[in-house]
Amino acid sequence: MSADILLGLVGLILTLMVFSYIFGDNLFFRVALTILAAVSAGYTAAVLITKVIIPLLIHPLGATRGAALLWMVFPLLLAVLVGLMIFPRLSKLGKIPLSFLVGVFAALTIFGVVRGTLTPQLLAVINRFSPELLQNAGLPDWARIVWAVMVLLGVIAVLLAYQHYTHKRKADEAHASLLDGVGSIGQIFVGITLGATFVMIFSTALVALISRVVWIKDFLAGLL
Amino acid sequence: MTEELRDCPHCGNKNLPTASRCVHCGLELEEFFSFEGQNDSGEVPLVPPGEEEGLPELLRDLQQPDLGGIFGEPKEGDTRPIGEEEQKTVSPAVPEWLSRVRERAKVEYPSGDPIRKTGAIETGKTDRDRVSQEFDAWIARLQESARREAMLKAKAVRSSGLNEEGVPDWLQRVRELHPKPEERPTEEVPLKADEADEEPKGWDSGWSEEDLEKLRRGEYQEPGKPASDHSEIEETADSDESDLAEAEEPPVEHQIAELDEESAAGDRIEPDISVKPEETAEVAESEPAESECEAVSEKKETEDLQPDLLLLKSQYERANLLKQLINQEGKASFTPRINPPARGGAAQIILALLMLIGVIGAVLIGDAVWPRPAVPALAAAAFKQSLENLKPGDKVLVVLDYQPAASADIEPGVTAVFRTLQEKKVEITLRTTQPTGLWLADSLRSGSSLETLPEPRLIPGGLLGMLKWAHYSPTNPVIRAATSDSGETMLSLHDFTRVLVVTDASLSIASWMEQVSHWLPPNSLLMITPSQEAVTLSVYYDSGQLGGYLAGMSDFASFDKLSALNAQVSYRAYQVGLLIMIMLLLLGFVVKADDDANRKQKLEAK
Amino acid sequence: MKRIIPLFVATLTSFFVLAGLIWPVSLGGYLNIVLDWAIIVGAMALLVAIAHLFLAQWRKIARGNRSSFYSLVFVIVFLLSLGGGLVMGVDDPEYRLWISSIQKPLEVSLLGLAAVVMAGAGVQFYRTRGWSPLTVAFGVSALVFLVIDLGFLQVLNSPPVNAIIKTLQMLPLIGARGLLIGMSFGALIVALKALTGEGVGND
Repeated sequence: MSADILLGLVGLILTLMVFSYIFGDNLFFRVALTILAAVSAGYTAAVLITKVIIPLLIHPLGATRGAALLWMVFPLLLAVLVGLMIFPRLSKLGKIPLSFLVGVFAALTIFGVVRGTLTPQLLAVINRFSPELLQNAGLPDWARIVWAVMVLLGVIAVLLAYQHYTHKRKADEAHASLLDGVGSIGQIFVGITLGATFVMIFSTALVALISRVVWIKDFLAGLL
Repeated sequence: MTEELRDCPHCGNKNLPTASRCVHCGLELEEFFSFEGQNDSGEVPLVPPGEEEGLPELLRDLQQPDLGGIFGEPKEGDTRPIGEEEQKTVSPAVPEWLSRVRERAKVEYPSGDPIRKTGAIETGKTDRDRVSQEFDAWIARLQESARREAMLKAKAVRSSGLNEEGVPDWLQRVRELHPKPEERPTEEVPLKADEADEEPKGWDSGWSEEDLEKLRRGEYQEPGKPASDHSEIEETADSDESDLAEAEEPPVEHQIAELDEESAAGDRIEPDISVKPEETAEVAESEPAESECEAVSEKKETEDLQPDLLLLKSQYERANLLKQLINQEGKASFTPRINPPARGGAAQIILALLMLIGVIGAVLIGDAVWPRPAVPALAAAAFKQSLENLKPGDKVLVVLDYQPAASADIEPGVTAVFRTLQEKKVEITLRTTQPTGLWLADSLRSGSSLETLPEPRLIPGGLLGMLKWAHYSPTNPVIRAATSDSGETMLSLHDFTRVLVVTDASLSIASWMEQVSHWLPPNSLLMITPSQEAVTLSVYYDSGQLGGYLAGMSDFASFDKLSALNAQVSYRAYQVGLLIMIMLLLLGFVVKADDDANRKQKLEAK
Repeated sequence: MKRIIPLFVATLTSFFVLAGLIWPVSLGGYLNIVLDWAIIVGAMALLVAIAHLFLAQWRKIARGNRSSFYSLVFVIVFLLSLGGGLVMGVDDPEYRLWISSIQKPLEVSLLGLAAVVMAGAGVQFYRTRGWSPLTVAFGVSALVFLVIDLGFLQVLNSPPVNAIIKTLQMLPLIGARGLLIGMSFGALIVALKALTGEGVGND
């Protein structure tokens, strides 16, 4: 039996184990999930050790001399502290390197969100009202004007609906009913977006399903 | 009691005042770990003189030797210090608390509405005295039994305020009265998602599973409640189960310890006397044509009995809620309040098989060519144009940032793009931010005869590594000193004419946009994703942050170099899958509408 | 004191990284070094998480739990996978072929299974969620986009139909933009809280 056929058989068996879930949660499905978790974890650990830890941490320690070596001491210390978290009694020592990580990601998030999402997205809403964009050959382009207004109102309504979901309001009744009304419009826009996203996700999943069926068909045809 | 429970500031659900974490969402409540009980209303405080102010009423009641004492919600007459002489004259044959219950019921239901609601089930119980006597005897037995047990347990409780574990006296007492199996010296078992929702064994809350399910869906309607309330309930149908707990809470206080005992004993002694709403509703529906004369006489006969039973039912529910909260006390686990989706069942299997058979059948009938769109999407056209503008020798960085799961809906597009790039004779640099990208490139190479594709290299740290590339400046001596021996030749993103990212996750797209895109020249960032990310990408394309994108097979089909695509995914099978989904969505729509119509008819018939 | 040191480290790091991002010319080089450290710490943290996962399964086997069969499978496959990578090297073609032959069918099949599960969810959607502006808009939108995706309308090649399709395809953008902005505000608040010490150093 050639290696290709053996690997193909492994793939076929694993595929069937996953699809056995159609008849309910069962041993085969769980074993397949366990294998997936174990292979992913083992492979990721091997890659991290050989492609990150050794070249970035261990190798420079041996190769670097002089002042540059000082730059390597701090990450080594942080890495050791994180490594000690394996032992429950010493796990508190890991707080410092993890706080360092939290600090880095917090700063990246603040800067990135403001510059990469909030500013361009808010500008994209406002820029639609630019006079050049709303004209066509010197005349008002009504389709663009309507679209610009719709985008602006839609975004505001969605934000209100979002606020409605994330925070339980304790506003007075008059405000609450107004917000409910606008929030309902926001819900419609959110519903449209989620409906489209649902179809797109289904589309990706369907393509995956078809590709598996095609692969099985081709593999079995190759065996016969 | 509800006013003694604390609202979680995060999810707004009820918790014990002593809980260190919210049992619904897991939020730490340490900051307001304090006893409540301050009487803000200005009424006479319930706390007897000398007792710790603010101790919850429930816990104070548990400390009373006479557990049959206060039962209902304290009214004006009840706000006397505990232990004071009872002023009212009570019939010696009726226990004191029962008379208070009855009085309370009369106050709460002056019109006798609840009695009318359940009157039909009492058709077989015409002997009022017999039932009343049996009920009273049962209650008396329960009371005696509860008192005895509580006194025995109270002796065992430590006299000091805190035990060696630092557990306060009052909490120790509560635990004494609610022995928990997990307090035994066994290893801690993680709490299952649905564990908190389970009914304690032998405990009859008076709610059937069917009614609870209806209540979860917001469709339950109390027997006899006006139909107009239905809309209110429907409005809350989307909220989580924590709202259910609020909705279920009856407005009456109770003696929890006593009820715990009663719950076990109640089923043993008089199982037929408990009233369930579903029984009430069923009987009321099945016998609507009872003669009015009979109904009136039955109402009168059961007038005194029904309030007791109704209040007992509400006590059970309240006790049940409290038991859940107490069982959660001190546990650090986050307990999701969402039921796992129902699996199995013939209908589910049939639907799944329908989809599977449809797809297999369409694949077997023969492959259909994926058609080229008559009008390609704007973003796909921009992507194509961006590649067309490349000149020979231009540098293009391709970053593989996707998982194998999405490979079927992503690799045909990547293959087509690689072929175009190779035809353009541009210099391709291949990198991956995911460990799996190392072997995904192999399968791209072998599956699409792209042998000249360069070997991919891992970017350590993923996006952090990309950010380093964005900031790379070779003249900086610090960088030279620190990175000269790191094993990877540093590159700068600014050296590339185009950066092409192949990704399959919204989070990853957002990170690229937030961390990397603004360091690049405009329109130089392109993306290839499965169709599931089309909506996310459209937002960034519309704001000008993306130079173009291809999302899924429909966009890939606009490429000329798509020869291997049709062998992998049959368009006919895809259409069959979509058609089945359309049918199922419509079916769900019709079924729900039909359910609603039936329910409406039933309500009208009622 | 227990909270102060982690808070100090997090805040100091945050300000330094922010400064590096705002003044990339002056501080960009130092920022890269800090990012290098973060990459190393992140990789170590991931390794520790994997080690914890392995040890948890190992303990289950030692205790002989009911689910220890799955743990046994996990431990064996994990050791083979890790050992293979360390001994043969993760760049070894045969090792990669084996990993891909196991991982790819499993992951693609799981996503394919999601299509089947979603079909069932489609039927149940209205029964479980009831009627509301959100659910009705969701259902109608899903149906419209399914029909557009079918490709039958595009076959007509009629300019008005194409224009309608194009307009419909732009509608989800509004909701997506609103949600994106809302989530970004949320992320910003969370990051600012981390910067000011909330959530840092808690047990």
